Amino acid sequence: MSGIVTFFRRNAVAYMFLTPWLLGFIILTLYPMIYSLGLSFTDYDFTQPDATQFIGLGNYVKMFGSAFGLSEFTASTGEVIRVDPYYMKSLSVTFTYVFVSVPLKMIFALAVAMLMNQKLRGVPFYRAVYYIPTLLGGSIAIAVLWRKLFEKDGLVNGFLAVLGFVDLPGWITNPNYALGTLILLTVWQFGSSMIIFLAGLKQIPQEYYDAASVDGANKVRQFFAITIPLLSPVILFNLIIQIISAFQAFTQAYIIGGGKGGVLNSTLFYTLHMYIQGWTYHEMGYASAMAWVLLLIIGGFTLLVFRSSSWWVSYGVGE
Amino acid sequence: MMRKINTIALTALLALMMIIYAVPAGAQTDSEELPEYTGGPAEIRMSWWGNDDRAERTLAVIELFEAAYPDITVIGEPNGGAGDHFQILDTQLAADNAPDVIQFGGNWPDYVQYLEPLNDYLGEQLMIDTPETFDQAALTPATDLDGNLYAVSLGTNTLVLVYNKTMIEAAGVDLPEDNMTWEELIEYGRTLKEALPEGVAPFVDNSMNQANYLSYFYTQQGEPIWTLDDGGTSYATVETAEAWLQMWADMREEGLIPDADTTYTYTEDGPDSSALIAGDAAINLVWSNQVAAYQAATTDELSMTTLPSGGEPAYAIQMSQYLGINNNSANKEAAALFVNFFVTSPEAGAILETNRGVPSSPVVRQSISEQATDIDAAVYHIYDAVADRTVPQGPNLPNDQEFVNELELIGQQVAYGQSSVEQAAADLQALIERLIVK
Repeated sequence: MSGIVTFFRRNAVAYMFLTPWLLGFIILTLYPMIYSLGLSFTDYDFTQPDATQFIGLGNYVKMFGSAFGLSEFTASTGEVIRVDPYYMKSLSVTFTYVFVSVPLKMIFALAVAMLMNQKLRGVPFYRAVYYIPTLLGGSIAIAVLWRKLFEKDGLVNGFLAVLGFVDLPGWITNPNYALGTLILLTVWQFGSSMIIFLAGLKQIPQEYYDAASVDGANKVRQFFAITIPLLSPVILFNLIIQIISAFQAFTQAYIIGGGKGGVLNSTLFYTLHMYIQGWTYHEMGYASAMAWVLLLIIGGFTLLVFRSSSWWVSYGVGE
Repeated sequence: MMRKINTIALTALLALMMIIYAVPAGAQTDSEELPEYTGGPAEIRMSWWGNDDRAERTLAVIELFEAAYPDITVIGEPNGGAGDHFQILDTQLAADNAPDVIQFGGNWPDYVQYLEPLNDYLGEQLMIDTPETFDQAALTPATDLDGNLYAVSLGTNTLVLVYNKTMIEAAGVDLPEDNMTWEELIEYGRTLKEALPEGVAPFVDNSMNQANYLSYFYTQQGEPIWTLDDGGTSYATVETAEAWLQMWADMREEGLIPDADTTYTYTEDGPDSSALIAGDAAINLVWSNQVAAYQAATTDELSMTTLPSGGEPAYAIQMSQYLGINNNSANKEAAALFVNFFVTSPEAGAILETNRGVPSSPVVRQSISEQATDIDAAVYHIYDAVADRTVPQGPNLPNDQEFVNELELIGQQVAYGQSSVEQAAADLQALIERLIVK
């Protein structure tokens, strides 16, 4: 007992300062999260809250049913529920996006960071210029601009026409290329990863490279033997941040797809699908279930990356 | 109790007097004739969807209203597009924080549990209960089976085919005539195709971007997609779905509509993103109250003609929008007075014009007819041209928003060759059947 009293006596001030954040976290984050977990087992429609029924795992069956060849099933309430035919599409769009855009963006960011790390004239200027797209980031204006650039009569096709390419598709409206243009958009916004890489590169002592040169290691060897291992904690950090944000991509797809999943649902990102289900179709219980599955997916991938890190991340201690 | 009856009697008498007074006066009205406000200082909110032009008009009417009723303050809340409007509204309703006066479309029944029945306000604050002040037929689509009136019509509109007059004249082709059959229209498109510049299609692809056009076709075939017969029945058949899809597939084949990539470059939900305005096509399906906005977006001259004729009468002149009152509002009297001012005041009408459709008040109609634009005149002309083939406005298929979204997907599958016409027709029929039972 006295232990607890001492504990509070010693930490009271800290807890007092922590209270506003703690309250905010509990009221605005924790409580809604738990509440949405509860809703995910119901058919909650927020415009008709009184009609809410408990449907058990119905929403989860609705999500994954199509993977097992189901088209509809009977819920515990006796209601026949149609399996979501676009859920798997939204998963595959999102996975493609994550697995293609994250590595591309990382490679690009690292390459530019290494260029920026040279002793060149005007490097601060280039740094600023390359960081601008990230500052503009998820803005609606950029998405609108991107749409204009890549549509059939857009600037990109106009430029390519000058080079002699004709009969080009509308990149943003063609189901084969729409996702590609969105990936290009996110890779273009490599600035924040680049800045972090640059900070990491600055930490690597020049002596290592000098010593390696003396030993006869060429630039490629130096890159893989010095730069990558010493940078690996930074790579880990960037990788996790980028994976999480890629899974949550929404704004660009929402704007470019006109509030929908684009032509033939080719840009139906997970979050966009969730949004349409919840806000347009009022399937808020289902959207809650989708949110929880997304949390599990992101959590799973983060865990996987962390677990694998013991193989490839070197903290330079005890080795 | 006695006092209440006295008040009612007095107000009713006042209302009656005002009607008698207003009718012979015709278009001439001024603020002294407006119903009296009996409450204290109040603040009400009104939300709507639409572009900046509509927001400016609406805010100007709010200023006029505040001048007429100094005790009442109105806060206007323009909510962007219709989709945004209803998402914001849904959230506000769920949070018990919705505006007092809300703009609805044909979807008002989805919100009936939040709406104040307006019957008790008729003749008191809402001077819309006589044919002299308001088209009584306009009340019917906003009244439920029990006779409760839930919303007030802001006007009527209808679908028209808008064409780029400048472009067609430059091509040296006669302008389209009203009431052409589908075959004649398509034949006209072929003539136009020959004369138009390379890369410009005669028609915008309206096959699946507007549920009402499809619905119009079904009704012409004698198979309405959704009726209230026997508590709700669909007469849709897969044959009609196939006929519709085949017709558009043929037009795509012949180049009478743009290729899929061009089509889906535009959202076709307004002049800001339309193949007609961009100059990729010469004829597009548009709601009549939006034509003025399309005209404002281009320097070419636009004009309009009717939807194709044929089969059963199917042309619906429909209520474009409604104003409803939140049953949770703390100032319902003020809200009702505002709605009344919005739809019956000629001064308000002069500002609103036909932005929300042709007004339902004969007084307002008469007063704005003097300032009618060419576009307004053309809309009235369409109303006349289709007079012998109009039908009462039918109800939307249940789960309308989902229908619209899924229609577009089915249309895209055909346009990009991922689905045959037969398959798409089967999908469309299955979609209709599913949304009915959902």
